[in-house]
Amino acid sequence: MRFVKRLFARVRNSAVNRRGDDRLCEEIQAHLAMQTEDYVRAGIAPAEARRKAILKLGAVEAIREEYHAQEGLPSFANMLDDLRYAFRVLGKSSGFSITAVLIFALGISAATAVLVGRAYGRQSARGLAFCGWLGIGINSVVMVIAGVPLALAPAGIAGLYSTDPAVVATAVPLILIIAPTMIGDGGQRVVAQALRGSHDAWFPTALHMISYAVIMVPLGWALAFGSDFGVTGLLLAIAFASFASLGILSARFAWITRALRRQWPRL
Amino acid sequence: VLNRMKQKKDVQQGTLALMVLKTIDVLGPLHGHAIARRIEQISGELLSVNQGTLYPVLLRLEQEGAIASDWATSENNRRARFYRLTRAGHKLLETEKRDWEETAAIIAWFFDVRTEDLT
Repeated sequence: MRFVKRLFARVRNSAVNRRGDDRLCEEIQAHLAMQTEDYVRAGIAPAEARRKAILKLGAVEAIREEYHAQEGLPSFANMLDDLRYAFRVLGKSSGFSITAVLIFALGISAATAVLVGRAYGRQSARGLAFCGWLGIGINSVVMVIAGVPLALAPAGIAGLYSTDPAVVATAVPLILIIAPTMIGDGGQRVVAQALRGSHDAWFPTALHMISYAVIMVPLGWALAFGSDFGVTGLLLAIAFASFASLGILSARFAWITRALRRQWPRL
Repeated sequence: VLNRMKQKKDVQQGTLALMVLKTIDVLGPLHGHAIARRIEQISGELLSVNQGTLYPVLLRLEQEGAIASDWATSENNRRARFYRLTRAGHKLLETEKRDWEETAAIIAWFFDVRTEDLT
């Protein structure tokens, strides 16, 4: 009970970032004054009395540190600092971060291919659909989690690279496009692998070629140079191509699972 | 060594907290300096060097709800923070006192015991 009470007080203190510094300072000042008075009354010269009072109080910095350590949640505050630092480093090394996120998608897609392939092997249409959609779902969740920091703090991330407001203003919409695009781009990989696991190897490969070569590049060119979108247009084309191929591949996967369900006897 | 130092510090903080509670219990609301002076008079060296260590202990007790504090004017017309015992503090003092007496009795018995008593 005492522990809970104390924890509650600490959480409250660190939440409102309250520091009892003023209170401690005032208490210590009063303490020193009273101790000095005691010494003076005992017949010690005022200057010496003050010196002795300070000595008797002990190291004020150490006391303050201990006071603050009890006041808030130092380990929690340290953890928050570490987290903030981790996010800054990840934001600053964008190439690494994006690669890491896409490797998530690659790993999930490989796992999906294997599981869908196993379901195909034992002729279980339900298992096949389940594994495929589960992979897509998990991947979407991971991509959303990865995209949240991008969507929440685009200016903050851009600010890690440049203090020039013009550069930051240009980068913000780009980051806002990249955040959701990861869902489409990562997702289409996973669906493509799910299709390959269902013995449908050519369709995803052909569609990738079409969506990248036939849709994305000309669309990017048109948006970037034909209209006034510039680099934003390039990213919009990537986003559009990714989501288009995610949609088409998903429809294909749904169609295949339905066909297989009719073809195979129910297990 | 570090661990032992920490242990010793914990024990000291624990005893100090108990002394604070007892002091306020006997003398009523007091400010930090008066508590320090009182504990020093009775226990001697525990607070003679680092009076300041009292303040983190006071904060801790207050967070636990054993004591409460308010600004008020001291006997010498000085603004100071006065600490008083709460009901929870009373109960805490009672249980801590019993615990200490039990522990002390056990330890005393342990040191007094002779080999022939055990056979």
